[in-house]
Amino acid sequence: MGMAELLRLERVSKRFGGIVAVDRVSLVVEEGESLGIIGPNGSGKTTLFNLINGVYTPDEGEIFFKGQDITRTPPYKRARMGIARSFQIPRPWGSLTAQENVAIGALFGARGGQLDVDEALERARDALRLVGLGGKEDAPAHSLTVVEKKLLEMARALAMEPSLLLLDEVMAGMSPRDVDRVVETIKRVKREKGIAVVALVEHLMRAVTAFAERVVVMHQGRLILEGPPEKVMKDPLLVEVYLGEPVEV
Amino acid sequence: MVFTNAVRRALRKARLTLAAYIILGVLYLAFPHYSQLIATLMFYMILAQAFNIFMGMTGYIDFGYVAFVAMGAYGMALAVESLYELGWASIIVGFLLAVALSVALASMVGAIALRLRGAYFAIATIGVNEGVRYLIEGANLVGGSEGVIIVRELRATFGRETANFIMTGLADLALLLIGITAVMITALILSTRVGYALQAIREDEDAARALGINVTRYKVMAFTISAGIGGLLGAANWALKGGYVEPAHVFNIHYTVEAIVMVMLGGPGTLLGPIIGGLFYGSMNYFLGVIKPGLQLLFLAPILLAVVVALPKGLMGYVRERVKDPRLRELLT
Repeated sequence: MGMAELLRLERVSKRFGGIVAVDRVSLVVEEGESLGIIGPNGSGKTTLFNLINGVYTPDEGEIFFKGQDITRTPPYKRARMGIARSFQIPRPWGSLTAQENVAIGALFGARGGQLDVDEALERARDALRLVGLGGKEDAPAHSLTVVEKKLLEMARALAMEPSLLLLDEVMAGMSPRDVDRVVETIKRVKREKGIAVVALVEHLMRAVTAFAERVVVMHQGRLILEGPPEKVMKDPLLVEVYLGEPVEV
Repeated sequence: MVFTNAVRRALRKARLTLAAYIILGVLYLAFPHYSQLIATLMFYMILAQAFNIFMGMTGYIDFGYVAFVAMGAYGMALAVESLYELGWASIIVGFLLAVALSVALASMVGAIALRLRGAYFAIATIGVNEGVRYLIEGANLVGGSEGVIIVRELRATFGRETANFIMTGLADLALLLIGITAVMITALILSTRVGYALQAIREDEDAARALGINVTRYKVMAFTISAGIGGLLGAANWALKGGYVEPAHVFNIHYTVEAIVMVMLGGPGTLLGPIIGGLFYGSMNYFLGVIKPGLQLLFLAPILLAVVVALPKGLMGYVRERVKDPRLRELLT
């Protein structure tokens, strides 16, 4: 589509002791793009997310968002700049209601400070409906099922009105019907709001092919493959990565 | 516009809590014989409310909290001691100095301790209370271990009659006003983005960060507001009412423990919780003190244990989880 660049990682590395969790990763995400990052457990996907949203600062390399250097920007500022995320293990605020959880996203996200509490609660209602949680507004978040919590996190992230949505294994453990709904929602927010979506996926290749325009494969902290999903899925290297064969890169 | 909406929401939430203070005020006038019991209850309610603004909303337990109340007591005592010739102005300056000192200490402690989490924060704050106390006693600052006595200054300026009124009726009126202020501040916090930010921090601080909440800013905000109200309480209830400030008394960790019990009992982070906790603990303390002085402490531990096991979110937390009607929920904030 020839969109403008939204996020750029330049040779970003992160080490934990002797382990290089992310190894000189360079990656560009364009505005409104849907990107799937796949890779087996321990390949560094979640660390990469934590670098993008600011939980970790990289040991090497630089990160740019909307043209600004955000390598050392704290997470809350990145959130306000338009980076929203969900967590692999859902982390809703348990004793608040579903609606309040999402309202906080609206209150402190990209439009943070402009909304009144009542307006934020109103927006939360819409976002909950969008992800299929209409009717759960008053339920305490801790009482939701795991799938509902994942959808809640998605609604919370969407309420922030981000320009980049990072979804960490949001579809793992979901029934095919829920997966379809999430894929539909991702496509819809992309189409209607122009939000770029980057989703981490370990196993659900069907979901990746359904929503991603582009796929990158991570292995041992590195990006080893990139391309349109149908092409990447057929690559013998991908099979080797998942079967644990030694890989020459 | 946004602000007036928030005030309206706050007033709706605060109806029962404000009613509690107004009823106590009426009872105080109607039954002078029990005025000191009522003043004691108000002291505990305010202590619990002030403590709740930080501990209840963020989940951080500050074991050194009483140091802020002590700072307030010193602020009032020092203002009256050095400015008593100014008459009423010295008392007004006393309240201002009380807030200034407690907020100043809170800013210093907060800037360092609020970088720590959980148990580390709790341990660091114990040191603050003991540290300030031994600094005053050891370096013989502001009266050293003897403290500051202002009864003579009050009598010299206002005469015996008025001085006695200041140390009873006026100090108690000040308590009532501080209590109402604490209610309104808490209700306002709960009705605005500040309250949501603090609750998000309490439930999951990392998630709060990822969602755009400037965690440090809101923690410092709650910490200093909580300390400032504690300072007012110390100024009114200890310096003004007692007529003296003594380090062994005002830095007693006992008060912090009482605050924890009351907040846990009533329901952390709620508006009514600290009121219920304060009323229950205050009256228990008073009557046990009448029957068998010194026995109160023996009751603290089992009560806290029972509450943590049976009602982990306190009485109001328990009630609120069972109330579904939004209007009733608002009333029972």
